[in-house]
Amino acid sequence: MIHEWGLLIVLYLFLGGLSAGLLAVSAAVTLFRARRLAGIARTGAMAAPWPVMLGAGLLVFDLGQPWYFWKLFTGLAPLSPMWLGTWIIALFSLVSVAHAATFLPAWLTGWTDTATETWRWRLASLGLPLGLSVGIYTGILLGVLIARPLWNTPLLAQLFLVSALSTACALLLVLLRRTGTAQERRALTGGDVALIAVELLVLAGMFLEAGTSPATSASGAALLLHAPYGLVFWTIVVLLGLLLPLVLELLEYFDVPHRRGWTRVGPLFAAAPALVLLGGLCLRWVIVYAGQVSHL
Amino acid sequence: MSRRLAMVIDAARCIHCAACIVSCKAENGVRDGHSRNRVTETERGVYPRLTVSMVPAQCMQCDDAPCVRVCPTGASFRAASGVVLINTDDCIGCRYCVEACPYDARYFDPESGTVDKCTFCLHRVDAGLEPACVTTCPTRTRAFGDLLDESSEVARIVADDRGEVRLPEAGTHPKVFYLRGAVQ
Repeated sequence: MIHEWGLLIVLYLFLGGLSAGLLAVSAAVTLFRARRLAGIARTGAMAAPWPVMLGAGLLVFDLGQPWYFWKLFTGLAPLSPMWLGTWIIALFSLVSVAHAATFLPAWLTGWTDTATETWRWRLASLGLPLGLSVGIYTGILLGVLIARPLWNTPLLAQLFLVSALSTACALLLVLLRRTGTAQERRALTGGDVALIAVELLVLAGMFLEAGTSPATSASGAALLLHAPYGLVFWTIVVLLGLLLPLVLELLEYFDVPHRRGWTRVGPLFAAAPALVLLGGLCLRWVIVYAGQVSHL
Repeated sequence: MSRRLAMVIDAARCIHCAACIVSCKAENGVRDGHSRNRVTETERGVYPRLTVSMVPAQCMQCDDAPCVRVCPTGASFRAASGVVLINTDDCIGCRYCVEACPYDARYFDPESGTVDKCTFCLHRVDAGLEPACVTTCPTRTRAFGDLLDESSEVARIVADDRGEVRLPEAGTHPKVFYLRGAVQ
């Protein structure tokens, strides 16, 4: 069995994580009443439903029997992460669309301000746990498989969750590049710095765990040390997707480029969120592809 | 009548003639490019002191089957005979079970859009015959029977602890056993 799951699965895990992070970040801003970051709540809410819907749509056509995808909903398989995930994502899609609707202008909806605020709050209360659940689910889907040592660690769900939140911050930075306030961009940059740091720690944890585990786990992690997966992992995921944006966003957070007058490297700093998104996508490619080569 | 169908493989007898693979394909109409069973050859030692071990493998018919656990539609199930089967009407071809199997015993058939695997030739067993691979093997590498039938060869081998399973650490409790010490 080699690479039964391909690029559509990679894309689905990435887009699912992106939506999960967008809703979680948006809902958190609403729930913590961070009114000065209202642009993050609005943009996050408006963007959240679409990536996962696109991803799930693509995934249906990855099935051997696309026209029978509805059997996912008619059966009962509570021990199957995929069955649970299907329901969580269906619920997530409904809640995220309703949550986005509370950000539509009043002249369009005809809702009173109080009603909109109340429903925004209620849906955000559902949206935060649902967003975190979808982020965790993308890791659990792979993580429960004892047959694939590279995936079979509780740290994978953490890695995908943190990466989901980080890529969501990065996408929000792209979307709010012109329309956002300096304060919103600074909050996202600072948040992303923290998330990237945690992501690096989780990755370090995965290697530590593999190194102190049975030989099969070590053989799984060893795939990340050698070509071809190791090449993509270390250059694109770690170097370009985590370390470089970490440094750039840290400098940006403390306003160093502006204070030092680094005008010529401006585009490099602007590219940091794009690097985070590229890294997030490639992380999932490496994990999905290398994981299928790893075996007990 | 309750059954626990099982198989014992004496890998030392296997000569990798592939008759089991061919008879399985013919019996079960397995499409070109796929097979439900296989033989793995492993070379050991350094020239000129070399040895090759040939180990047949197929679905292990696990009592605690990861493929059944992860199936999102319930298409994969454990039948009363203890055999793990796929209801292809309910299989949507997500291939989660293929990923979940520690023995790489399942395959996806793009033509049917569903997953397929060894059924212990349940249709033959129910008619009082043995699975095709068992009947065909010229070296009698495989023994087949019911673990609940104490007089059967497989029940005696398992009761005497002469059989071992592959990847016991996976906790899958297979019902395909390998004769201990058959392969060094």
